[in-house]
Amino acid sequence: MIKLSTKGRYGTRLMLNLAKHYNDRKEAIILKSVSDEEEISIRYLEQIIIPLKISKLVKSIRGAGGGYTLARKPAEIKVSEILQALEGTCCLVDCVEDEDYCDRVNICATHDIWEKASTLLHDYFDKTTLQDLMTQEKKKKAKAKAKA
Amino acid sequence: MLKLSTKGRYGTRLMLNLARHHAEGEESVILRNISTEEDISIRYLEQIIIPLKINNLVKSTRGAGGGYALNVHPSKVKLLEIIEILEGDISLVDCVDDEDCCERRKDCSTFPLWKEASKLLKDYFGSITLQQLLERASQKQKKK
Repeated sequence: MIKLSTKGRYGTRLMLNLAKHYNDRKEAIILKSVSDEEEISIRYLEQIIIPLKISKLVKSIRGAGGGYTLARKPAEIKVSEILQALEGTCCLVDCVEDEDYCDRVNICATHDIWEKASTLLHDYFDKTTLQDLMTQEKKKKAKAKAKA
Repeated sequence: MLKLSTKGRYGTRLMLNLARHHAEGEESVILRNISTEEDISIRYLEQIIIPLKINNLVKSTRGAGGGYALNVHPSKVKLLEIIEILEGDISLVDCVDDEDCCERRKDCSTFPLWKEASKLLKDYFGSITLQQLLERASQKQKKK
């Protein structure tokens, strides 16, 4: 089983939610409203926003009207950065990132396969920004509307 | 954390080992040999060979000279088959394969992202046969 954890999945939705508000009003958002919109518990959001803040992907604003907002424009935040902050690397196996992990790396043909697959994944997430996700969503909604 | 388990990793090496012996004209291999060559414990090999046998990728022969062998030609086995037998479905998220997993799926803007990434992985593993892996392995050996 290779699965993204809830951290990575919910964290991406949290970031996308902040991105939508960022484009709308550029105001800080309180986690309560993210929680209502995304149906994710506040407690969980409070937990996963910490690494996002540490990685400087979001910033917090204090006081009245305070809350969280993206640290950069949605077009400048890559999905790979979000996943790196929440899941660690995209490497499918440990030997891809840590050469000393296994002394068979030099003769192992499967190592190259896992490495290539990890690169494919990483490159995909690296070329996708929050802005791209929002643009896709708009297109999807326009299509659905045209159908209806 | 996105990781392949030992099952998928070691199982692929087990299959690659059987493919190598097949290419060398050996009819069957005992797990002890694979264990020595691959540095994987026999106990673990005994465990992971079961699903491979159930799915007819390997066969066992009894008696003297018996052991395990590939049940299909290496050029007919894709890595995706091996990995999915051992790891289960390799979608990055459950909602990709299970429509009922989440009712937000239709409106979810991250769903297409996970779906596409899962497809990339599956297409990649689906594009490589055990035979191709074997060829890569022997090239790598030569370079060394």
